Amino acid sequence: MASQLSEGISLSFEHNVARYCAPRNIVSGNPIPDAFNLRPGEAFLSTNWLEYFHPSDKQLQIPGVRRALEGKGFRVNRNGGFAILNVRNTTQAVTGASLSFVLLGQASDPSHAGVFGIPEDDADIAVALAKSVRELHPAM
Amino acid sequence: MALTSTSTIAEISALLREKGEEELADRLDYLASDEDLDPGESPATAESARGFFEFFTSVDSEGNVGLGCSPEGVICAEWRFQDKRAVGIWFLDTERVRFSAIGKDGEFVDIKERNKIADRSEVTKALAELQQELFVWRPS
Repeated sequence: MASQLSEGISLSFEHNVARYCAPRNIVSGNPIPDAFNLRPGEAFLSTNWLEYFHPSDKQLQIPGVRRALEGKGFRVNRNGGFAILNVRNTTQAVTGASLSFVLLGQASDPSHAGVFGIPEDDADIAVALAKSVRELHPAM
Repeated sequence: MALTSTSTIAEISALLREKGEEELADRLDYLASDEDLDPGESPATAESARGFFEFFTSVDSEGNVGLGCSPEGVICAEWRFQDKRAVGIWFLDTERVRFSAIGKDGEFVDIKERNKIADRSEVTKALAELQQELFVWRPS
């Protein structure tokens, strides 16, 4: 399960998060590395903890993530997608950085999780993250 | 028609079509359009597209190329391979890039310009001459 950290709850290796990818960063069902770049001012990569919505059923997890984002006023494009990152696979695949997946648990979005340890404009990590994605689900 | 320092994205797309790269030209047209743009995002810039075209027409690759775009209009090209290799290049403008590449051994390639803002011509040469089978020079 998850362990308590001072800043939030660290997600354990078997868990998964979803990263929204805009349609302009999806090609042939794969995310382009730019989908994993931090934007100016961002301290972490914003994701959502899938198991918050259901232990395993993507048919419940993905709509849950979409509703959580829309509930915060985020525009989910019908042509966008959710890239699934497994904590274990991603942590092992992204060499050269010490990533941590932390559940931020905001009142407005209890599933909100951040991937910490990513420098801004880091091409290495963006390419490695894109390559570590195993599934990309349509946003709608 | 040839690429010039003032070529527009429409002209670059036409050049790609001349070379039989219909899908890539369509994708470039899409990235240069307002379709799927979120508020505050910019279409792909001609400067970035010129940088991509210069690179793409200089080298060959067995990898499949896909194009994405940052919110600032910077084109991000990714090459995917059947094995562990991967390349992502952000064409910051006509002459400058930031890139990362993973070789056959699954490790980041040892090129000093990796993950830094670097000169496109130098990066093209380094990648084409690297013994990782990512790119080779196109016959002139």
